[in-house]
Amino acid sequence: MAALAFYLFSTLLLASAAAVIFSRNSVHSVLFLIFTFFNAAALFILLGAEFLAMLLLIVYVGAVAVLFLFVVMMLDVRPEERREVPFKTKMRTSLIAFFELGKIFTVFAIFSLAGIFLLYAVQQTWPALLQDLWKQYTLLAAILLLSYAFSRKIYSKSLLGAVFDFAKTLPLSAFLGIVLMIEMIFLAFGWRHMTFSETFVQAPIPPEDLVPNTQALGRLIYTEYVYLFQGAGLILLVAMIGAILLTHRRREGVKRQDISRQIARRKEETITLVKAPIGRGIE
Amino acid sequence: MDIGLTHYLVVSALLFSMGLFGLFRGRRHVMMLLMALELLLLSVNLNLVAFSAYLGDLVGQLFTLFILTVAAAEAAIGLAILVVFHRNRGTIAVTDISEMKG
Repeated sequence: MAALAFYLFSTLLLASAAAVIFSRNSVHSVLFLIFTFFNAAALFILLGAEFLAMLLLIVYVGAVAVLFLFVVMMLDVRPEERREVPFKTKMRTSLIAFFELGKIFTVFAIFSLAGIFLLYAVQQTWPALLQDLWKQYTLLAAILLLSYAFSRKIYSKSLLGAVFDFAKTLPLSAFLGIVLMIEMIFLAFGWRHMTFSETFVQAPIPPEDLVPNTQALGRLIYTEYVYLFQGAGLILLVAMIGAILLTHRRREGVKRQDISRQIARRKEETITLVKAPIGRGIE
Repeated sequence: MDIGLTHYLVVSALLFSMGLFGLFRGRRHVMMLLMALELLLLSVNLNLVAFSAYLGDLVGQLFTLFILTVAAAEAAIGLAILVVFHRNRGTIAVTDISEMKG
């Protein structure tokens, strides 16, 4: 049951995040961002961080995303115009380049693996032949070079050239994004939990039925991390002052108080004694 | 299937790369840049809260709280800059701005 909830919310999260990026209309992007935050809040609740989930809804959705919407509406951002190259053509060239790369790499991989298998068989039957490490490494290098030369003979394009051809069909950002995503997924599947990390826990989570999450966080924030908490408040204050100062406009014709001028008033400027001639008054 | 920490980490990684991709797309539309920044910060928050839940340490959630604060402040200032920029230039297409290019 929890697995179903996790898969549902995470799929919706990733789908709406993709919709934020790929949406043509800015207003749609912001609305999909709001939906992303809702799904992230649901995932937070699944992890037991309910205070943070509600905070995400109140602060991120209720304030930041609404601010985004204000600015998008105010600035009247135009929807993205159509590109010159239609998407289908781009997909086709990208797919062709990918298959070219795949063919070269497959031939290279097959011959390399066959050579390595042969090397392994030789080592099993005659262990004395390949005892030294340098012999193994040179033979491995020779196998790789031979298979590369063979694949090069079949396909006249080099492996590096094929990679560059494929990369040229994609925008650089998508290529970098895909590489980074693959790296991070490797990282996500390969990390190891430190066996003695229980002693490094700085603030153990109390059991949920005894202390609710909000209370447990409150016990931390106002005691051990109070300086950080006040610092966060200062950051918010600075942000508020900065935003007001940036966007404040001076309007003409508005009557204002000039406090320093009022305070710097001297007695000589306030009252003047004038002798008024009788019948004529003063000008 | 039991949902382990790795599942949350993979979701966070995918969200991060999507935010990164949007960051590159933001050269054309500045609103996309700010929204991609929010996605990046959200992925980091998810990562921190997942670790906090699975290691039993509340400091992860505390750190997320502060990241949330800073993200809100930064979004506010970024939008204020955008508004003033639009007021002065009439456009927010970043590719039209090239005064600082040498």
